Amino acid sequence: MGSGTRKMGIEKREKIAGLLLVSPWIVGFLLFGLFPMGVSGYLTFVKWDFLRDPQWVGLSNFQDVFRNPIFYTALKNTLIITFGSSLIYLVFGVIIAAMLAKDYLGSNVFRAIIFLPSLVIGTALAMMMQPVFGNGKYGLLNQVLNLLGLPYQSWLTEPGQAVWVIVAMSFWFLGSGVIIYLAGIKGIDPSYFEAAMIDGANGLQQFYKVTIPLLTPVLLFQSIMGIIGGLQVFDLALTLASEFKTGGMGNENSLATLVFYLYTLAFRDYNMGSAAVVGWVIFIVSLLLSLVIFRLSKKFQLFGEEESK
Amino acid sequence: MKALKAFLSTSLVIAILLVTAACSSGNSSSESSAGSGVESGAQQSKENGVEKEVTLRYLRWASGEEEVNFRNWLDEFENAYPNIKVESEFLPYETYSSKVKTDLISGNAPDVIAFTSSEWVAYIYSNVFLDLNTMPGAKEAFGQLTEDSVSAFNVDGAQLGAPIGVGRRVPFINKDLFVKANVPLPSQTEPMTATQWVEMMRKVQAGLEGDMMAANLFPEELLYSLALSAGSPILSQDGKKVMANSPEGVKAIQAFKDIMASGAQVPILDVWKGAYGNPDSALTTGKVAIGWTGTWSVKAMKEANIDYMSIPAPIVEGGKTTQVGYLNSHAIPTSSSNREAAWELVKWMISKEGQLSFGKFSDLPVHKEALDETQKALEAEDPNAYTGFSAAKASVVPTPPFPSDFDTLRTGLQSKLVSDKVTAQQFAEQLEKEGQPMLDKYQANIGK
Repeated sequence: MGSGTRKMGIEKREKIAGLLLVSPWIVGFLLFGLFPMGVSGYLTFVKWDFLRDPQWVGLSNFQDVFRNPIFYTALKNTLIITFGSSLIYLVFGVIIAAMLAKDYLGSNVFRAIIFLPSLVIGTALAMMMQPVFGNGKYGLLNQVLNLLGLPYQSWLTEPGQAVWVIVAMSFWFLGSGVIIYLAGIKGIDPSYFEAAMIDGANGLQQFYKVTIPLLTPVLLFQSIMGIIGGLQVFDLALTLASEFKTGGMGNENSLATLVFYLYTLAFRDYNMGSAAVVGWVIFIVSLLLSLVIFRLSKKFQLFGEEESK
Repeated sequence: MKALKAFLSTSLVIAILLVTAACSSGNSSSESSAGSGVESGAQQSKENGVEKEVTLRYLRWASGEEEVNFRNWLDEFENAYPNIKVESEFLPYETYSSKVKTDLISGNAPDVIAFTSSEWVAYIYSNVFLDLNTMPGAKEAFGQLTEDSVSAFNVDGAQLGAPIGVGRRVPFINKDLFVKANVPLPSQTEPMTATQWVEMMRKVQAGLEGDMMAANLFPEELLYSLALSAGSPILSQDGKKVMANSPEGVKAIQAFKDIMASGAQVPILDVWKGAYGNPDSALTTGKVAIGWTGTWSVKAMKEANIDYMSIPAPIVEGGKTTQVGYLNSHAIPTSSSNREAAWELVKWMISKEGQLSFGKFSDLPVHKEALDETQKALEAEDPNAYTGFSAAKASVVPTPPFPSDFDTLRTGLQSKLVSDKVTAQQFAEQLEKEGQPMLDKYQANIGK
């Protein structure tokens, strides 16, 4: 009896200690996660511009957002950027990582060269790219086209074209993904490659028969991170749009993304209700896409040692 | 060991709670000290019947030379009112509206704030502006201003802003480039039709060398000006209705297209950047023969040794002469703790003395006598700069308020029109179809 009571007392103390140790996270989550989400949810049903008291408007904000063509432009652009950049990170990232996985003279230098550009923040990159893609026919890229006798393009001003400039900028950030893929490839047991070689597989066959299947956990992780990152694109779009008139999202909203649209609603128009609606749309789209990838990954994901069991 | 763990855990939680409490008490103590500061500031002006020094905060958009001129203007006020000091803050126009909004939201706004008429509209039902009619001497002060300018800032009988001046833009030409192109100088008083204007631009372009351009015109103002001349403005004066979709409106839109697609105008999407400057600075680049700017650019043109001349804006065939203007004002926030002193500043700004001084470096005054004297003085002093303005001085129409989305829509349609992706009729129809809901929503958001 005595030892049982003592054991229960110890367990209880340990539980209390455990709760106390995770309490900072819980407090943080409540204060900076759940509470703001709750307020944001409330804001979707009110009209509020900071100056006047919030006024309950029911579903009016939802109607305003979903009836506004700008929302659909922003949604389309965001999905193009998300899938476009994710595909670039996935395809080129894995290929480059596979090429850098072998150790040869100068391989470390190449790894550093690939990785360094990804350290540049988005705003700085967009400011560097503005003279390249912007400035009408005086932009650097258009000057090159002119030299080649080709007509100049409205890279940032043509609706439907500007968003592909942002997708193209994904190459700049390839390096961070390459490093993660590289770590994943390095973590594959070399015996798999030896076995494949013995079976007569060449380099390319080893790549898609051994490397890719055993890299699926990393691919899953990078896909989800890429999608979340793509859905949150803002700094590139904002900086590129700054060459247009103040407050706009580019010519005919060509550079509108969901987060950029949220920003203009909240901090240009001070329409907090509609901004909150867009915020929830971003959250739900992120959640849905992540769930889809999780479901799909169950069919394709391999964990080397588990599979062998 | 377990006791130590429990002790450490408890200490960590207590530390978090203490930090959280300290932050909130820190905020409230700063608020209370600000509060007591506000109260003492209000009492400061008069103690024991003696005028004590009051410090006002003033906010306006300005940069460079303009900033210096406004500061000098405020110094004149300080000389006239030695017990009132004015701390001024000037910001670039691009960041100005955000700062104003933030200040008004925080309740820590300056005592006197400058506004354009379109930005002022966003706040009129938010109870942030003082009704100036309640201040002493208001009736007499506003009675000396032009009626249109005063009524533009009156909301249901409350005077929520004091007009200060009307900024205007007109085309300016580089006379040397016209001579070089062997094109006769246009009249400074008689406006040309759009057809004549296109012909002039093409002749100038043909006579220019290299990558020079005949014109870098302000697309939005050109369109608005042509629409006004046709008797069918793009928007109603209160900004609530799209009015471009009419036969006269379509005529004006077509005239706009003819000018902008003449081949002698900087490409519409490059108007504000690139080697040709922008419509305000185009002439000073030396590469453009016709710009579109206001009196604020005259000094820069002089410094660039440009032989300039202002001319009236083009009109549609059979149209009337009008001019687009920007009506600017000052407002006193209800949160100001120095209302009396702030009103002294505003009253001085709209007095004849203040307005005459203002008219020498900025927009045209709204004080009737000062406007008349200023126009005559400016035209006598620099007829090249000011005669073009006088052609339409009796019919200046302030730009109406509109939301940014509407501006983006209109700009996009302008670009499509010039590149033949839409016709003038389609422009008018789309502007109405897509723009009217934007205006309705904007009015609903700022409404009562």
